[in-house]
Order: sequence, then C-alpha cells, then structure tokens
Amino acid sequence: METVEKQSKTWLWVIMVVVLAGIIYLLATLGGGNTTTTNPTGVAADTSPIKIGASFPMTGEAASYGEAVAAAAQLAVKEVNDAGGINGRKIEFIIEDDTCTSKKGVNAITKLAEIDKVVAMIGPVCSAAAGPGLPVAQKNNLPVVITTASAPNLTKIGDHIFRIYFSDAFQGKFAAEYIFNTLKKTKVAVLYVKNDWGQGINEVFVNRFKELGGQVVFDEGVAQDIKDFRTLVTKLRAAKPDVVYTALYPASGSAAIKQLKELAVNVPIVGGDAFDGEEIWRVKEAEGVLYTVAKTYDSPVFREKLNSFAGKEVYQSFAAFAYDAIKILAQVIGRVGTDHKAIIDELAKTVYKGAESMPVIEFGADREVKNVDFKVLIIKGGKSELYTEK
Amino acid sequence: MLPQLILNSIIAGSIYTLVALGFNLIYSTTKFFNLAHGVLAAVGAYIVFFLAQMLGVDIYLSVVAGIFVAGFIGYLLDKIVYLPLRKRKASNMVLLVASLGAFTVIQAIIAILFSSQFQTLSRNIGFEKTYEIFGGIITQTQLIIFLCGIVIMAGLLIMFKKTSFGKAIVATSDNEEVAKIVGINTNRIIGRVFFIGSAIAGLAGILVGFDTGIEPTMGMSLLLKGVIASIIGGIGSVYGGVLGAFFLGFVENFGIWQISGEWKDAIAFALLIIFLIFRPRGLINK
Repeated sequence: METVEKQSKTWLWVIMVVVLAGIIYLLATLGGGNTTTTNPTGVAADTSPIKIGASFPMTGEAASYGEAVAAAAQLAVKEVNDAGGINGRKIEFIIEDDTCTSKKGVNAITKLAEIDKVVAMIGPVCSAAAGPGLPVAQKNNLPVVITTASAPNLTKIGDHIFRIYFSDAFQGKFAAEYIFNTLKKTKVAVLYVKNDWGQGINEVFVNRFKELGGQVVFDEGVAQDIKDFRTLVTKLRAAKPDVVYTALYPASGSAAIKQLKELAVNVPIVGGDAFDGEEIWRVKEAEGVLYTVAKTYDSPVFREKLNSFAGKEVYQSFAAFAYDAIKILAQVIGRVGTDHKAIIDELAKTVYKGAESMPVIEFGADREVKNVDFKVLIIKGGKSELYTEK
Repeated sequence: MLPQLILNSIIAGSIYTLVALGFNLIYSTTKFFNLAHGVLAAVGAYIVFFLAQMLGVDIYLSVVAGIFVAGFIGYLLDKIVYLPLRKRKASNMVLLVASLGAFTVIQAIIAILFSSQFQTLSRNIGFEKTYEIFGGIITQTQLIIFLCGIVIMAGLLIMFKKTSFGKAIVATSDNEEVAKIVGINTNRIIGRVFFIGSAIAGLAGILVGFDTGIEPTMGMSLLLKGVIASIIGGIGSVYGGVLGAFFLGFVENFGIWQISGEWKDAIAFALLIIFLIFRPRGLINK
C-alpha cells in the first residue's frame, strides 16, 4: 500500500512539473511574440496584436475617475484600430483595476508587466497606486505614461516613467511667478502640509520665489489634521509678509484662513488646487482668497464624442489625458516598434500636436510634460470665478 | 508678540480643559479609559450643525440640544455597552476596547449622515467680535471657551464638595463594593456621571466647531490632547485636569514658537512620555 501511494505521489509531481513547464513555455512564447519584432518595416508582416496595458481604479473610491479615463483610452484604441492599427497590427488593450490603493496598484502593474508582458502602459490615476506600483514597471523596463497621478516624485522613480499630467510641483513654480510678477509681492509667508503634495509644492515654490529675487520671510509645515494655527499665525504676522501662500487641504486651510483673519493678517492669501472645491468656498473668511489650478482644454467636441462612445455621461476634464496617452504611444510604437528602450528614447523626443488635453505635448528632460499653464481663481460669495488683476 | 502667545496658550489650554474635565470625571468614577469620550464632542457639534444650519433652529436652542444629546448618547453607551460588561466583571482592557469600538461606530455614522467634509458652524452669524488684551487678540468664541472651562471646573468642584450626589461619586470611585454596601446605587451614579461627562464633551465639540470648524474625525485629536492633559495633570482629579490642560497648552505653543510648527504633536507626546517616566502621578497628587 505504502509503495503504491508513494508511486502515485511521484507521478503527481511529474505531471505538475510538466504542466507548469508547459504554461511557462506558452506564456514566454505568447508574451515574447510581440517584443521580438523590433523592426516595423520588416519583411515578414507581423499581424499579432500589440498589447498596451492600463492601471486604473475601476472600483473603490476613485471608480468614477477610472470609468472616465478607461472610456477615453478605449475610444483612442478603437480609433487607432479602426484606422488600420499600428502598421497593420491591432492594439490589444488590457485594463487592470488598481482600486486607487497601493496594494492593488502593485498587483495590477505586476500583472501587466510580468504576465501580460505589455509593450507599454498608461495610468495610474491615483498617486497612492502609482507610488508603490511604478517601481515594478521600472524594474521590468516597461515604458509608462502616467495619466493623472500628480505626486511630484513619480517620474523620479526611473527613466521609463513619463507623465502627461501636471506634477504638483508645477503649481508651486507657477504660484511663485504669479505672486512675484503679477501680484508684485516680494515678501511671502508659506504654510504647507507635511506630506508628498505639500512638501513638493513648497520646495519648488520657495526655490523659485528666491530665484526671482523675492524674500521668503516665513516657511513652516504642519501635520495634516492641525486646526490650531494661532501661534504659527502669530509668528507669521511678526515676520511681516505682504502675501501668504498656503499649500493646505480644505479643512486645515479653512482653519488657517480663519485664524489669519482673526489675528488681523490682512494681506492677500493664495492657495493651491486643493482649494478648488465647495468645502472651502463656503467658509465666509475665505472670501477673496485666490488659488491656482491647471488649465485644461475641456473641448466640448471631445466631451460629446466620449460620452456618445461610452453611452452615458462619463466625461471628466482629465479623461483627455488618457486619450492622448494612447494616441502618443500608438504614434511612437508605429515609428520605432515595440522595443522598450526604443519606445522611451522616442517618447523623450516626441512633439505631439493635435492633442485633446493640451495644444502640444512634449516631455522635458525630467520626463514631465512641458508647457503646463495655470489659471488663477478667486473665492467669491460661496463660489469661485476666474480672477483678473485690475 | 508675547501677549498673543500667552493668549494662544490659554485658548488651547481652555479647549483641552473642557475635554479633560469630562474625561477625568468618567475615569475617576469608572477607572477605565473611555475613548468614546472623543466622539461625543463630534456628536454635540453635528447636532448643532444639523439643527441650526440645516433646519434653521435657533442657535441657542440648538446648542442646548447638542449638549443634551451628547450627554444622552454617553448615558446610553453606559447602559447598552459598558454596564452589561461591568456586570460580567469584564476587565478595564475589555471596556477600553469596547469604547474604541463605540468611538469608531459613532464616527462612521456621523460621516455617513453628514459626509466627511469639513464644515463650519459660524457661517450666517456674521463676523466675530474680537477683543484686544494687552495687544493680543482673542475672539468672542475663544473667550466663551475660556469662561466655560472655568465655570465647569468650579461647578464640578462644588458638586463634589457640597452635594450628596457628588459625595456618592467620590464614594463610588473610592470603592464601588463598599459604596454599594452602604446603600448607594452605583450603577445609577455611574450612568449620571456618563451623562454629565459626555455633555461636557458635547459642549467642547460645539465650541471648537464655532471656533475652527467640524468634521467627523474631530473627536480623536481632541481626545488625545484631553487624555495627555489628564495624565500630566494627575488623572482623576478636577484641578489636575485643568492644570495639565493649561500646562500642555503653554508648552505646545511656546515650543512651536521656538522651533517649527510641525513639532506640535511631537512636543505634546514627548511631554506625556516625560511625565509617564518621571512623574506618573501627574502634577497633582490625588
């Protein structure tokens, strides 16, 4: 009895090893199939599909964002395929759900890079998924075009990570220039939240403001849940600034603005894009506060096209970035083929016109999109409107 | 700048006082860390928000209702959660965990009902009056917070010294079994203590709401500061709570005046650790 059992166990092992080897072989040939053809004008026409992946939050707290960008990307894929694909090869588009969390972000990008072996990927939408997930892509030499995740350091993960969305750091630079050049203020006090977002903005803002010749008379960070700014404001007031710049979220931002007014700091207050929401507009002390947000095209034609493609109202202004990301990748792969190195080299040189998100898309040496423009809004009567300097 | 700094410390100390007083009252009677105390501040604040801002009820009436509802929910927590556990002779650790559960549940319910967005209570009342004291500025709300702290402290002291209810609390807190033997209905006393302590927490939440604003998670940071104030002051004592609260307020504010603002919580907790190591009984010996 014992020997029979042993024998059957041995057989089981042999079968398992054979099956596993088979699976690995299949995966290797299927996945590798795309990357072997580096020359798009090769003699033997390759008609196998080109796999492009995406890590989007299809469920969870950012599911509505995921729905919008997925529809936009699929629309772009459909247009490329309908026009004959990339040199005769169709795009096979694979979306993985990263649920806007770090754990699922790692899973999603690992699957795209190691199992699907995609040629390139777009996304994530959330910095939470992008931060831990993108190193996996970099490790696998997978070219990435980030669509909406905005944490400043994401492109520093490696040379394969590009971004067509605006890094949070850009608005720090814009705000510094706006305050110095347009508002003509030279002594700024800065309050910011101590996290990736706030510190990223603060660093760029302070450097740029000093570069322009301005004076940073006060610069302090706070924990995210702080509501008592009184002593900081007392300190800030003693520094006698002529303008206050804040990179704070709405809750602590409201408290800070309220206490600035209470302690009679009557200078203009400028905030970041986190102020773009009702949560802070309805605070009565926030009346007259300025804030900056990135300019997007918001083309009504694209909006209509996307909604009719999806069959329902899915449009969000940043959906256009996912659409453009697919179009740019299709163009780049069409030019240089599916080799990862060739793709990132070409991405770095690309100047893409006729985009839906911005007039011209091109990447700087830091692989961040260039030519980002911002607008300034003012909080007025519980709403916000475009601000123009009188 | 010094007068403003002192005022800031007093304002912070007054807020911590309100939380510490209620927390200490419940602790001294039941001997367990009632973490749910923090969320009752949010309950009070949201009742005022709901009545005054969403239904348009008179603001003073709303405040009274907010205090009462916070007290009542504290009372219910005792009757529904803590009392059955006490009857089963559950350890204080079990009660602490149960109170953390109650905290989370109530906070989640508030977030579901009112969203987790930040709201202000002060809108539609007009700009606040401010007063100048030796060159420092204090708002009307902040002055009220300070006065409430003083009045409640005095009230509790009088209650303990002069009323038979107060003496029954002291007896229960000294030794519950003996108190029962001499004929005190300790469960009823504890229920009332929960009502009073929670009502004070509700008042604290409402006043903070008027001063800065409200959000469902406001309870935890208030609770933490209140607990630190209680421990460094001398847990279970009325004077201790108040003294600890003002001590904490001054150390925090003068600390971030010297170094930078991001150190605020670090300063508070470092102070707590220093006290736990070198003077665990707190500033005042009970």
